[in-house]
Amino acid sequence: MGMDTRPANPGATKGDVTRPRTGQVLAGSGLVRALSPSRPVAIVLALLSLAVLIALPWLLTGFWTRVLTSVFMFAALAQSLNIIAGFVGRADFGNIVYFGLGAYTTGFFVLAAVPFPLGIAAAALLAALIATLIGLPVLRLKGHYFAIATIGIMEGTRQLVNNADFLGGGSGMVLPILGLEPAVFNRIVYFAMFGLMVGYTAIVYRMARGSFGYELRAIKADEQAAAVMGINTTRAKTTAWAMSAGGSAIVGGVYALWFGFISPESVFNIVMGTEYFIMMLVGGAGTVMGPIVGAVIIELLTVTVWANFVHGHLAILGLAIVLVVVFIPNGVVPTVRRWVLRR
Amino acid sequence: MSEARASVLQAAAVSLRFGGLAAVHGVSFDVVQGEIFGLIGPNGAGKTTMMNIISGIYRPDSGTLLFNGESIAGLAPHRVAQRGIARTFQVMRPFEGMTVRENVAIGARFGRADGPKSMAAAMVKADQALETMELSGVATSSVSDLTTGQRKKLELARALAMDPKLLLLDEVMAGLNPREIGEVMELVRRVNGMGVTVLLIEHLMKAVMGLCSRILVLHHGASIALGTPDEVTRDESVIRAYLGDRYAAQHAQVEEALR
Amino acid sequence: MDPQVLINGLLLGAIYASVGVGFSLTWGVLNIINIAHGAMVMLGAYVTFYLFTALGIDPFLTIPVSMVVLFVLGYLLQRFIINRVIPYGVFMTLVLTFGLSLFFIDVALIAFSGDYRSVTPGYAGAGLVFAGVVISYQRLAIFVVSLLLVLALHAYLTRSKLGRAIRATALNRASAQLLGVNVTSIYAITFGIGAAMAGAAGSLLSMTITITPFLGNAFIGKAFVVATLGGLGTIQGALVGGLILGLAESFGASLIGPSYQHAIGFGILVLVLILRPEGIMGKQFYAEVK
Repeated sequence: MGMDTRPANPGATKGDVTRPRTGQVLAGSGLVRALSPSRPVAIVLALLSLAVLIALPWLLTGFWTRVLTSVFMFAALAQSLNIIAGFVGRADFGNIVYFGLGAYTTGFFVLAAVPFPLGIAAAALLAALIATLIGLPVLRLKGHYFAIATIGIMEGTRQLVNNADFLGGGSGMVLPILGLEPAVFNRIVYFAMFGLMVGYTAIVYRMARGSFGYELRAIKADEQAAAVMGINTTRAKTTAWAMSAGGSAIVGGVYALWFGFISPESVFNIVMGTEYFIMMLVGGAGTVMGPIVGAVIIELLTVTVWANFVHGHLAILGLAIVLVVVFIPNGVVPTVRRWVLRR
Repeated sequence: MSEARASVLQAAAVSLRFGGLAAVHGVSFDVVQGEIFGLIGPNGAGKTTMMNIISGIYRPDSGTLLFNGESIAGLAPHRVAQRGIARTFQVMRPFEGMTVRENVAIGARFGRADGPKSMAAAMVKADQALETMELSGVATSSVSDLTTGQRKKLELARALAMDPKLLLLDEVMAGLNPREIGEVMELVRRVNGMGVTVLLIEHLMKAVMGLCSRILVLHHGASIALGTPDEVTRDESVIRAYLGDRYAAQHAQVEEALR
Repeated sequence: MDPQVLINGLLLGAIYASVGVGFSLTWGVLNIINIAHGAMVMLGAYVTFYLFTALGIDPFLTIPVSMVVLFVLGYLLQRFIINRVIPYGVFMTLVLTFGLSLFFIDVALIAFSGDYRSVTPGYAGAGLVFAGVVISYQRLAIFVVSLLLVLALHAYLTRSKLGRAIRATALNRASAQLLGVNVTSIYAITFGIGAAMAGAAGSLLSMTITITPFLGNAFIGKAFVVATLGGLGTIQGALVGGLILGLAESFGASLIGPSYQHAIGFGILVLVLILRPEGIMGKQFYAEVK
């Protein structure tokens, strides 16, 4: 303490820059240390869980492998949505339109004998392009209006696809079977969805700490203030939406290949779209792990409830949503974080 | 004989209507490099509108607006910022959910096209601005933990981190106690001393008289006086605008009697 | 222009107006988008169904009952649950009402079963014919009652003391509070009124469409369009919006084909949002939403 040189300006308290935050002060307590492990321990834990998740398809029944694949799929969708809804704070309730577009674009190309990776890439590009184009007028809308516009676009697209005979119309589109043994096929899809979930989370992780992440957070906090501070808000919002669209479209493409059959009702599905929106909210919008946590909670809840109550699982989902919104509005991740730091 | 200094900002016949109301009408003035220029007037005179026009939030209907010789009328706010104009808001708008340092770093990172290229570098620059504003002690605090005086200084720090050539301050003294007013006035002088030209909207006469070298007075959207603080406070139309016709008439009688 | 298409459009429009007016009111006054509005319409239809089949009461006469039942439900929901979530912002109330909607629909499914029901009073088939246009008496009565309900609501909001308190709260909550208005109570009452209107609309609808627990889903979309098109919180706006939507769908269906009927509605919605978000008759109450 005595070694500090007195700053020339008596007003500035340079020493205070290192004053520890509450969290650091409490870090001495064992509980917090256990829950927020040091760097090497965290890495080991992460690798271990990764190893377990990778081994699971060989250890679990087909049913549970599919359940986990669903969890990964929803987590990837929620993470993709997180970019526009969590970080920029725009309620993109109609985000599933990109999932649907991705599914149909992939299906279309695959049926035209294009190799599926190209089909999926085309799906992502098309979705990003569409989001950029409609973003120009639509991203100017705020709050409720934006939410409704996205729902309107989603429903309108569903109707259009329903009437488009070259896409199968109301009867849907059947994709060619890849001719693989079911267990192998399921494992591949498992890893594909797993990869997407991890990949998107990694992207969001990098983004959150970088300039782009700060741009989005500033826009969410106060768009006009962000603009006068030099942030090109139009470009940032549109980029975020394009990223989200592309992300959801890729998941849609993999879904189409997984199920082998898509229809307007199944992929332009407002209930499914709302489900992953809720997952993002439950886990914590604007956090990195939130979408994953939310997907795990909601999907496992749905599966358990469905197994035990044939009727009423939607009622329970509805009730769960109500309880979450009333009691943990920030989502699980921020609430747990705050609870941990307070102790 | 003072050297002629360059005009940093030149407004000529700027006008803007909102529906039927002329918010700003034919306003002309210029702000010289290095000065602290005041913009005063009764409520609703058009001061904040003028500031919004300069910072790009509104596009004027007519007139010209030049910054260092280049037109900025109707330019998008982020481009105006990158040309070198920073502003604070009358109702403080910090970014909630971020720390003080992060708030200032946003200004540092995005305020200039040739500024720091990463958030890490921006944080370093932010710390410098925080030090100038005497906020280093709360750098890691959440914005919601700050006092009013600290929030005002945060607004200033954010703007300063943008390395502006022209700083627009919108009623930065509002809501401060006398000690804080003194501190902020000192900080404004300090920023000005660093070479930043300042244009401030202010109601507090003590600050206006104490800081400004020249003042523009607006009333109902039009400019009614432009000059040094002494000239302006003695101007009859200014007195009439602020204190009413009757007072102005009485004041004129008193002046006449004393001559 | 085929007069039958015009008449159908107007008849449809009045129904859309009655469905949308409660939704628009809640949105305009409380800034809450009540996704459960569709479920409330559905519950109103079931109230009428059970009163009609169990007690033989004429459907039109059940309207006051369904309005009271839904008012109470709406009041309690807002007072004790939704009110707690309002401070968390726009998305959260949206998500909350979505959760409530899921809950009510599923409970209805369990309680009433998913069987298709209908309400067909004796006079259902008869109608009048003139100038080549067919209008059933029932549809005509529904049209008239819808209009009367909407106009009555408008009169209530503009003339009564409570109505004025509601409008004052919509314009400026803080000022209203300072002037002695009990805002919490007003919010709950307004939500209740919106729910009551939903119930009435449901009772009217029970006579024209099949009743299932999922009845409301189709109408939520319509309610959005009506509210946005007409301008939030304005009753006249909901009337205008409903009629325009009804006419647009009717003419659209006859010109382009019935399968695009819903796309028309959504197309209108998106256009209005982009071009004139405050709607045809609206002012920007809560247009500046964070």
